[in-house]
Amino acid sequence: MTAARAGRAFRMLLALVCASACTDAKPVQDVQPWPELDALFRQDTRWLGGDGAYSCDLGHNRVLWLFGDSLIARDASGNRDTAYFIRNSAAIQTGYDPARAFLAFSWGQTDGHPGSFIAERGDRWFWPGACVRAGAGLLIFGQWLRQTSPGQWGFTSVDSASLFIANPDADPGDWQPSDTAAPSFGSDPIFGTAAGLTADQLFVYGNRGASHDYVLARYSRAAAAIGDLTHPDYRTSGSWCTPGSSGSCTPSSIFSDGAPESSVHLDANRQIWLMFQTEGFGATTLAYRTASAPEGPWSAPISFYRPPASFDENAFVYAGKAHPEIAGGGLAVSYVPSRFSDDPRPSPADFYFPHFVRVSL
Amino acid sequence: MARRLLPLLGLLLALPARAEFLPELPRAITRTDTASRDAPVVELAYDGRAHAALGGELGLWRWQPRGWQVRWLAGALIAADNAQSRGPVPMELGRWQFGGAIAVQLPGADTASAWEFAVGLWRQQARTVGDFRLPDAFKADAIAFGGSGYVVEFDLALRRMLGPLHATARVSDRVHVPGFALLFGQRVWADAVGDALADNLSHQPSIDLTLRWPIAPGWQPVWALHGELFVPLDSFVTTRGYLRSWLGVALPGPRGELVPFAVLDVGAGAGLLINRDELRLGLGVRYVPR
Repeated sequence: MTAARAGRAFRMLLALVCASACTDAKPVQDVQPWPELDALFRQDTRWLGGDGAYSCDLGHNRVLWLFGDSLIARDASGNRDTAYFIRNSAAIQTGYDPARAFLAFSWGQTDGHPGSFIAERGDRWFWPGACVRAGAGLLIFGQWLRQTSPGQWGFTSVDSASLFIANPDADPGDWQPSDTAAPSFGSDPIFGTAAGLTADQLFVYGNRGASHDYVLARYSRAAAAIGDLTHPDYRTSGSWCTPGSSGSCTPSSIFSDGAPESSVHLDANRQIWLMFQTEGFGATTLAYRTASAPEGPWSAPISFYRPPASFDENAFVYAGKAHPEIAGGGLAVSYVPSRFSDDPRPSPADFYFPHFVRVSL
Repeated sequence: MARRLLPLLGLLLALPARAEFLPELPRAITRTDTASRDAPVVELAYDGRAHAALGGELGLWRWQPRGWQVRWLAGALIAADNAQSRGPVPMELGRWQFGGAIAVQLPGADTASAWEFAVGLWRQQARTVGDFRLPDAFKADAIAFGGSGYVVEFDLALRRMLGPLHATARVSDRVHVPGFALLFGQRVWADAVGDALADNLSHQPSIDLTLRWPIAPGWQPVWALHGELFVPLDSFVTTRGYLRSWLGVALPGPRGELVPFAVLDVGAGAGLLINRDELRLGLGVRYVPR
């Protein structure tokens, strides 16, 4: 009897071992750091870093980069300690191949010194989200925020933002962003976390709540091309609804526990939709989800790479997203390494710049 | 609710009649003979680099219902290793763990043979010491945080005679807290918990085999083999493991047992050296207080 009990316990232990050993198959063929692409963002003596790093293809050999909080040096010395801190900046990449491309950064001017590229509105500042060129015009999504208490986390989202640029082929300094008058849900959900284009539709992802439940809106591409986002459809309970038609129509979650930032694009070779993100909070990994259609169903995130900075327990690595418009072999995926603000150690000089890996799927 | 608690209250009131506090042995089947780097012993070893460990387990309470023996124990281990220095004092890397376990010895055993099952909760951590920084090149498929984490350890041990030899076999698994989320298919939660707890493992299964030859009261040859796997949380990270075997002579005395030994290490290093592949032969001495 003793032996039988022990045998049962042994089998239970083995079952536990086997069950917890069952992990995903390796989803990505290869991941390598992409130092040439990293270097592209370190060449400006005044732009000393920024997070976010959303990108979109403007056509004509140009790529728009959008950054959130950014550091702008006072002079060519490139001193971060005395740099201006602005809430967003932009850059135009000329050339799709990083080996031959160059970047021109843009920011605004406030009282004679560097200011945010998209200017503050009262006590509200703009953090960019996805951008997409659906036709002649350019849409820049994001959110308006304000500080509600001191400290790194003392901010709150106020509203989604969607701005239309009618002349994206011009120099960014000549852009005149206008609001699209897309329907607002206040701070919950925030739309613009990611965006994906098909031949005739624009899909705009948002997220809500602390668990970042993803929601989805859909627009006609033709309307989006002229900045008309006044007639969305929302994904709700597995189908689409149109506001104003019979019954209520509000977006509902398409999946839970998403990332606050991500990218969505169609892998044309495999005809699957890919969402890239960081996974977790703090010392995160890069991960992706897959879906057969923009509305899903989206898979659970599959981690595929731990950035070097995420080997530090106090790391704060975030802003994971893919940049399919970047050429040069492989898919460019970026993240931004930093540390939590209570870490007394001086940050390495390459923190707060976007870092890139080359992903072979 | 009160009706449900009454039997528990009755059990607790009945305990003192059968319970024994601070018993001598923390487990029926000791772990002091294991070749594991986490053995609860005092150990010094040198294999081109110095290693030291100060560990122990303390029995807190024993209960003997109907031939079973249930033990509650606490344990702690502090270990130091060198990663680069060839000096005799380990002072570059530190590891520590502490926690407790409930060990259940199954009934029906005699003094020579026994089965014991234990469940424990342990905290294990690895750190560099002082300003030391590991010079190891970054590997994308490396295990982060040196195997740190909170673990629930399931442990099944068997002791019996094999001819003239005392044999001990042990199989165990340290399931890391994020690993439990994986058991229930909660990958997102597993990653979030892993980040929050700085834990990059899902579990650590291990096996142990120890043979002791009680040829004489004053000296007893001992051979031990320990194999352990470090199963990562992320599928893109390489599962690592190590084998450690030592051959020594136990010298029992009134104040404990001294065991000079020769040791062979193959595979992953200890703590923050978890991503190194090593093949090392060394000498050491182990002390198990009585």
